[in-house]
Amino acid sequence: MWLLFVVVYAAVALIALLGVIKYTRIEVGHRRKYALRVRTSMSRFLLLTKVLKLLLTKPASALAIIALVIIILIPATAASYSYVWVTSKVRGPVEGYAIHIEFSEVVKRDEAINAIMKHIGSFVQSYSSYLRVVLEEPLNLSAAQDLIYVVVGVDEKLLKELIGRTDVSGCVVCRDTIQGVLAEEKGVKLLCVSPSKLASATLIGDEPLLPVQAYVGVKPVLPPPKNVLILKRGEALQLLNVTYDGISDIVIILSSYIPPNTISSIISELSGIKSLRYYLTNGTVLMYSTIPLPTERSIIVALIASLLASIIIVSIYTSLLPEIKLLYDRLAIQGMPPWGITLIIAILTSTTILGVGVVETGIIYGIYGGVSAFTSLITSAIVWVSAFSYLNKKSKPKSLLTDVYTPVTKRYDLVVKDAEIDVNELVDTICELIRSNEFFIVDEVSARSQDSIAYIHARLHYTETWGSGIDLNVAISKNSEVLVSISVTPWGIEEISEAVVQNMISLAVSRVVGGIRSWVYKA
Amino acid sequence: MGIQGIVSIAIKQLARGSGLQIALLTSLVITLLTLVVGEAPPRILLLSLPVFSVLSAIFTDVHNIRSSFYALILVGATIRHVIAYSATIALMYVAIYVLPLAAIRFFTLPEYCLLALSLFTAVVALLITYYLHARSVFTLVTV
Repeated sequence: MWLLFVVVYAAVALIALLGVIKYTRIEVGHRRKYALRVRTSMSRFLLLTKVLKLLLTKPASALAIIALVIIILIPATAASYSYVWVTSKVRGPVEGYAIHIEFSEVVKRDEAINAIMKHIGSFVQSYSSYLRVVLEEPLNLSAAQDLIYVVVGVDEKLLKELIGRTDVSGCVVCRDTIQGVLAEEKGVKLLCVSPSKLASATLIGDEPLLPVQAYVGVKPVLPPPKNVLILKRGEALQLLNVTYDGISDIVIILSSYIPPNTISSIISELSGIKSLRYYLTNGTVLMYSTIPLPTERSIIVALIASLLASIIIVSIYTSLLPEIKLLYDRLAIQGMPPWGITLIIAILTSTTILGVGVVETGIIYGIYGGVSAFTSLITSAIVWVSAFSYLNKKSKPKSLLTDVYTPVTKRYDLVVKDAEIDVNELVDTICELIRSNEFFIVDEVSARSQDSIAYIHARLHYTETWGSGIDLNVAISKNSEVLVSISVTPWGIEEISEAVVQNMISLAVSRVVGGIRSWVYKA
Repeated sequence: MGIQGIVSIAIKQLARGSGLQIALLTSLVITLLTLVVGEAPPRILLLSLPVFSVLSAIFTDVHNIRSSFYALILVGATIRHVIAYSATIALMYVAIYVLPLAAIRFFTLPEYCLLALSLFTAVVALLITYYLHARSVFTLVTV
């Protein structure tokens, strides 16, 4: 325990020491002018980070974030989803109502059948199980025309429909053997069939027997029949070394119509469903989308939560607006453009609303799933848009809303009614004011004076840009009073906005005018 | 200046600010949300909503309330008056949020009853608010 105290003591002492050193460095040996220069040369990113830090440390921001986090959780926890039926027409003949369920992998037959019987058992007239497997490694059969990539396991009924007999294990497209002739391979009797027979075979309706590999538009792409081996399902399982009674497809013939919603319950019971098709007697097939979509109620909850969060967060941030305006006014004096307040509000709302919302949405996705994350994202986005729009509108003065700017003068005449002023001293003061202007890098300052007349020229490079600046000319004449005429000509080799030019002019003129006034007052 | 006068001032001052309107609006929305959302979200989430709404409403009116405190002190109010002023504001907010809290607690009641009650309360409260706001009777000079 004593070691812990020693470590804590050492850490506190070290932090205190660093603080003292930092304080000493700031206070001793640095002139105010230099300190100002460091601040204005701060990058815009760093400046905005500091502004953001200042605003985030307010209690209102913390309250807004906590309120948002909790309100986003409500639609996430209340979210529910449903699957969508897509209606299509079936070309093949279907006798009565039927359901075809295709699994994405081989599943246990008993479990699948039990789940189906549990929900629609009283409507099931008969069912057939199939196995359709695409091999990772091809199978080489001497009788087959080509390597076997796909193995299809069927029941005896379908085999009989396909080749007219059930005393063989299956069928294949043979190499050099006439169709209808038996080929024996590893003790398995296979009937040679034509490729067209396999290609046209169907499970039910227009659903092909061969597993669909892909779709080109709406047209299914099937494996070449020469690469397919049809077997009885039991023998297919043996060939594939599947130790349990596995299936990949099941076709259920129903005795009567079942509402689609009843079938939907099977989806939640069975896992790994690739597709579900519900055949109706009028030639229509309902295809069940396995992509969950949020229900209408979930969306309504998300919208109401968005409204609530928007009201709460906007009202909280409204209380921050006076401080934001004050902060902007201070930054505007240091050269922040008029749209700076929009930038501040955008960063504040993006960080506290959109940033928090997106992070929370990610966490919700991991815990509750995609539908909950979707509703949370809706809430976050709506709250952010409404909060940003409202605050941005409220923060601007009416003159800015109507795009009316007060033009900045390029010429300024200052009359000093103190005839005792020494012109040379005034010239030195103005030169010092120009040199110490932290917003410009001084390229050149030259001054000429004779008796009661003086002229100063300065070429200044604006620090916020890389190729723009101003030529500053100051003419001084002294009679019964001192007249200081200031004129500014902006220049630049880059394309900069009007707002930046106005900033440059006002920063240069105001420094000279303000400096002279304060110098005269002190003198 | 009596306690009754302070209570009257607090009610009028609150009615003039936008905090009360925000509280009424959020009260209505929370009730709606409670009715729509059902029992799915944890109860603590719903119960925390009125708290945030009250806080946001107070944040909205924070400058008015603060200046009222200063004004009250300037005209000679004691700590007793300030407590009465604060308590009145707090009680008004609690009254506003009784409805959503009731909705959260007893949402097994017929939903349309709660909804109708909520709408009625909101409309009446808004009418009263605007009536007081329009008259703009609150001035500390008249105290």
